[in-house]
Amino acid sequence: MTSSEPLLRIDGLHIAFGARDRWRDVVRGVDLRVEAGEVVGLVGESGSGKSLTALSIMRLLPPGARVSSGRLIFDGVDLLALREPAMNTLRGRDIAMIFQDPLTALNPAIPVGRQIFDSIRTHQPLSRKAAQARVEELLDLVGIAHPKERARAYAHELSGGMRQRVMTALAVSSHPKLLIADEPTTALDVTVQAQVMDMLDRIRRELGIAVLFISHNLDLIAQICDRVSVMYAGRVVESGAVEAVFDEPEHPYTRQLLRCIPRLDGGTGKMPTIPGLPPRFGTVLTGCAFAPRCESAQERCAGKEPPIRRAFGHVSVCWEGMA
Amino acid sequence: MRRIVNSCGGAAGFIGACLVFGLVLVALGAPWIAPYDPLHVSIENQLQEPGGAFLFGTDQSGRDVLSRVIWGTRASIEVSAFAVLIGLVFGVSLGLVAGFYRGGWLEQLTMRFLDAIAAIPILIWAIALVGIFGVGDTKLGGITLGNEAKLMILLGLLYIPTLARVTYTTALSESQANYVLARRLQGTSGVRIMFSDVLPNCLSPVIVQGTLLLAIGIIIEASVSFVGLGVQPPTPSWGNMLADARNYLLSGEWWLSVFPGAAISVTVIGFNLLGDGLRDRLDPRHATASLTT
Repeated sequence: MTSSEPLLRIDGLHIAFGARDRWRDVVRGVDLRVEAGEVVGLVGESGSGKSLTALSIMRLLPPGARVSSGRLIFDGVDLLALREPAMNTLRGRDIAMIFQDPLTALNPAIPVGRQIFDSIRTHQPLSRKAAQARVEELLDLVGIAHPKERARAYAHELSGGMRQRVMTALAVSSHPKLLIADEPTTALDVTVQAQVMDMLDRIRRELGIAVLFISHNLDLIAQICDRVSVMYAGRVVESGAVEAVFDEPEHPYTRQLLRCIPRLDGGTGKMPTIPGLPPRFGTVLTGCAFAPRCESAQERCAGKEPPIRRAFGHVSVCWEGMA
Repeated sequence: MRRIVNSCGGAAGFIGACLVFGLVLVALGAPWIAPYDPLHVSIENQLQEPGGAFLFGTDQSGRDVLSRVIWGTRASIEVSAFAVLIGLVFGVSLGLVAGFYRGGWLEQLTMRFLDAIAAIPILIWAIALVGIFGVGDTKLGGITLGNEAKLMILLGLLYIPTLARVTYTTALSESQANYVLARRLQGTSGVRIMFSDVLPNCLSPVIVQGTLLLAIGIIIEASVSFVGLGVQPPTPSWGNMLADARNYLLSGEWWLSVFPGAAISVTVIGFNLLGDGLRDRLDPRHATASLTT
């Protein structure tokens, strides 16, 4: 790996849903970079293609979806060209993932410690005893008290926050280089959310793991991420350093989105929202997909693809301010 | 005590478990428990009323009914248990594979074939097949199968569709659960996920169904023996005892039919209670105290 090559590079990723000869793109050209040890946020509404992008990195798209074009390069390896057995070794060992709902992501019939144990033994040549010790070490690392006893608990016996901690322990059990966190705190209440976020941040620092953090919660993104990409209707509309994007958003969608965050000092009255709905699946999109909901839409927005503007690593895809 | 009752799924389940446990003990201990030889014929003692030396009375050949009921327990439970075992091994494997590798020709082939078998009631199958293969020993290659062994294997084969379908439905939904995706994301192979993750989650309904099938097996064994195709006289079984008792139904020798009949009822009730209790108990989400922080 050369120093200029990022850990993960996604180029022009298209993902299509369909069957036989009718395929419709839902992810329409996503470019993304994650450097080693970096935390990159991916924000967007439901259905904007965040989770599909994440699953495509794992090459585990749901049935009926496929990558129609683009490149996924992880650690110098072309993921799309990799054979299935090699991909399987990579999953969990080099790239790990945690989900929104840790209850359903844990096997209800097997004690959580045993699940971590199995995952460790899949990827590492450790003895049973060493693996068992590692399980306790990991549970301790993610901030679970009495790891020895808790390892014997079933998923339903743990609280939501503890389950997400267990999932994290499971995910980092074999020192992955990249952790994909798909809305890991959405199912948790706010106080637990903060604890889990702190835990995640501490662990990725301690282990030096790069994180692709997927969320629709802008506050969380601002807290933890170095860079952020904003997705709308299957495309990245703006990306850059978190401060740059959130303090001086260039794309109207980002601006309107940021205005929707409720604030304590925001006064009373109606919550600002973005009028309209994202385009429905299957709509043929010409020009900018956000144009119908955009406050600063111009005539040309609906007709022609917006240009890509770059300034010091801050990218946005919009006609605004263009001659 | 409380814990034992709870682990059988409440009072009813506990009673079922006790009955089943007792029956198993009787079946295993038949040679020691039975007061007389169940085959010993003595003309001077024929058709004795219950009481005295013969607690359950004697039959038309002067054989002790109690001893015959005790030995009959052994025949019934043996046939039923081995049949369920055979059904479990094959049924669960087929259902698991069909459910896990859903959407392929394997699934269609297996499940449609099993549907076809399941379309005819088990009892009819059993009687038809025993009829076809005939009563007595059947030579299969170098192995000689006795009548009871044949019955076990037949019943076992007939149980496969039921157990396969129970496993299949659960495996189908379990393989779409998030934890299966999570295991894939951890880089675990399909076969491994199927056996170590999906299978344990499919077992509870299978165990419940298996227990209920034990009860059905008792009835089928009795029915087949009753029509003379199952356990052959003079070996005692509840079914052939009832068949003999048919001739004395109206002449007042009630003990000939009541005791084997009661044995069947008690056994079936026992297995059913246990099955229902296990159904309540075996859902892991119903479990006890939570460890929350």
